[in-house]
This record gives sequence, C-alpha cells and structure tokens, in this order.
Amino acid sequence: MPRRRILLVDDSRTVLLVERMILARGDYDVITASDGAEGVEKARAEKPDLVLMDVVMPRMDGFEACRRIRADAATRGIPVILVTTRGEAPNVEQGFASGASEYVTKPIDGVELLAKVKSCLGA
Amino acid sequence: MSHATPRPPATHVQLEGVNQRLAEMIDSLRKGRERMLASRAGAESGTPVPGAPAEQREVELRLRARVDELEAQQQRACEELVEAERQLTHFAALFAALRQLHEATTHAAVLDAIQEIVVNLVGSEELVVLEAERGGALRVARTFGLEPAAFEGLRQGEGPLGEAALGPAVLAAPDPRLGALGGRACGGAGAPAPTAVVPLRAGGSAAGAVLVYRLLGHKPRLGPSDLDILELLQLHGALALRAAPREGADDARR
Repeated sequence: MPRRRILLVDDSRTVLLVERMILARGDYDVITASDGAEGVEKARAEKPDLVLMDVVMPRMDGFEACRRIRADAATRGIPVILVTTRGEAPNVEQGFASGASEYVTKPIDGVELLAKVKSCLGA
Repeated sequence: MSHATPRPPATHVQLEGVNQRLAEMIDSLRKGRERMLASRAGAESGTPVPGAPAEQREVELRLRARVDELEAQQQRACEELVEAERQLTHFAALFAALRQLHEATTHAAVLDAIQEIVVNLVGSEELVVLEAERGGALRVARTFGLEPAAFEGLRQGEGPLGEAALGPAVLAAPDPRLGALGGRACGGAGAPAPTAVVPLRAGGSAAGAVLVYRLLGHKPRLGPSDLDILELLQLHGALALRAAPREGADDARR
C-alpha cells in the first residue's frame, strides 16, 4: 500500500512541527502550507489523501479553505480535519457546515489526532 | 540371511475381529469429537460442560483464567501505549517550543514564538509579555487578546504583579497567590487574575515575564504538561530574548 500523504495547513510553525512529529509515528508523507489560500492551491496540485487545517489564518481562514476544497471537483473527496483553538459548539458546527470531516482542538492531543487521521483514511 | 514369513490369508473370523476394532475406534473418535465440540462451546459461553470429566473441567478453568489474564495484559498494554503516545506528544511540544524560541533571530520573532507557544501549546488566547527595562520599568512588549493599556506603568518589584513578574518560579492556577494579582493590582477593580505568571529568568537575571490569562473555552485547567512548557518558557524565553535584543534598545537586563 502506498504511503498516505497528508497536507498540514497552519500559520504557526510550532503547530506544523508538532503535527509533523506526531504523524511521523504513522506511515505518512507530509506536505505543508502556511495559510488557507496556499492550502487550497496545494490540495489541488498535490491531491493529498487528507488535509489537517487550522481555522484562524491570514489571507484565508480554514472554514473558507474547506468550502473551496469541497467546491472543487478535483478535491471534494479529500477528507479535511479542522485543527483549531476554537472548540466552542458554534465554531464546531460552522466547521462541519463548511464541509469538514472531523474537528480537533488545540492544544493537540496526539492520541486523538492519530485516531481521527486513521479513521478518516479508513486505516 | 532371513526370509520374511508370508502372512496367512485373512480368515473370515480375523476380518470380523478387525472390523469390530475399527467400529470401536470410530465410536471412540466420535465421542471424543462430541466432547471436544461441547468443551469448545462451553468455553465460549463460559459455562461448564455437563458430564465432562473433572480433569477436563479443570483444564478448561485454567484455560479461561489464562484467557482472562491475557485480556487484562492486552488492556494494560493498550493503556501503556496511549500513555506513551501522550508522552511523545508532550516531548514533541517541548521540542517544538525550544526550537521556535531558539530559531528566532529577531526580537519580534522571539515574541511571536512566545505567543505561539502560549496560544497553541498551552491553550490561551489572552497573554501579555512584559520586558524588564533599565530603570525598573516593565515594558508591555506584546499583548494578545487583551488591551495593553491595562498593563502599562508596571514596575519591576513593585505591586503584586511587579513582584510576581520578578519571582523565582512560575505561578500557575490553582496557586492561591494568583488571586492577589487581579483587580486593582492590574487593570482595575473587575480585572481577572492571571492563570499563570511566568517570570523570564536566566542566569539569575530577569528579562521580563509572561502573564497568561483565560484559558481556551474547552480547556478546563492547566495540567502537568502545561507546567513543563511554562517552565521551559521561563528559562528559554529569557535566553531567546537576551540573544535577540530589541533594535535600538539599551541592555534591558537587570
């Protein structure tokens, strides 16, 4: 089975580093983007198996980026997990309304993240 | 040289005898199979097999006890794996915090790193970074989610916040001393007390302090791993600020 590719989208280098280290324990290749607009572009160009998307980002937030990924026929099947500091119910609802497959709150719990990644990848 | 004696042809009586023994063997095998199936069913359902010999029931009980033991071991292994995963995530967070602080080559980048660590690794979107300046002032170097005006005019070692900012150790909720750091001490009568005060200290000198206020809504309290990050920030935040002084600033160390 080919290694799965995961696109990490976050404007925080700290978070990208933590996510990368958590995912290194699985059999995944990782690509990164530092805001929503770059995330949408990379999702289209790289066709990853999964996207981990921050919500609060410059240029384009994670909700909008998620909507655009869902609106594009080339990327609409890619699962998107929102990873955010905004864990309140209205934000979670907004996340799912924008097409997110899952929702993970920061600070990241590695056990939860890996479980949701595996679940979204059907592994 | 020996010669094999040819076997005499089987007589009718001999064949009947063989046939009888075969029938007995088949019957014995059939009964054995039935016992085995009953035993397996009993083991799966957890009920003893009626009529099974005492020795066999004893074996079954031992086997069931062994299965229970193996299941308990498997459960413990799963719990240990989850705990190991949490520890690895914690080490990853500590490593990321250290790397971000020491990779920052400008003063603004160090402040960005401190902010990122508090927001993303500790879990608060309300923070203030104060820097110790020559002359005793505590300059508001960065605020996030809070108005800077509430923290202006603080002085090193003066008033509850000024004293806590120069303290020897991290103060974190539920430490009762934090209760004295809200209200009139800072920001007016209704101002909340901080959740944590992190004096930035290296080599015995104070570089400033990080004040952490309300935690994210889904985070009920600070845990041991948060304290590790805040303690890391205490030393390495100070070292990083010292290594990347503010452009045009005097040596701010006390």
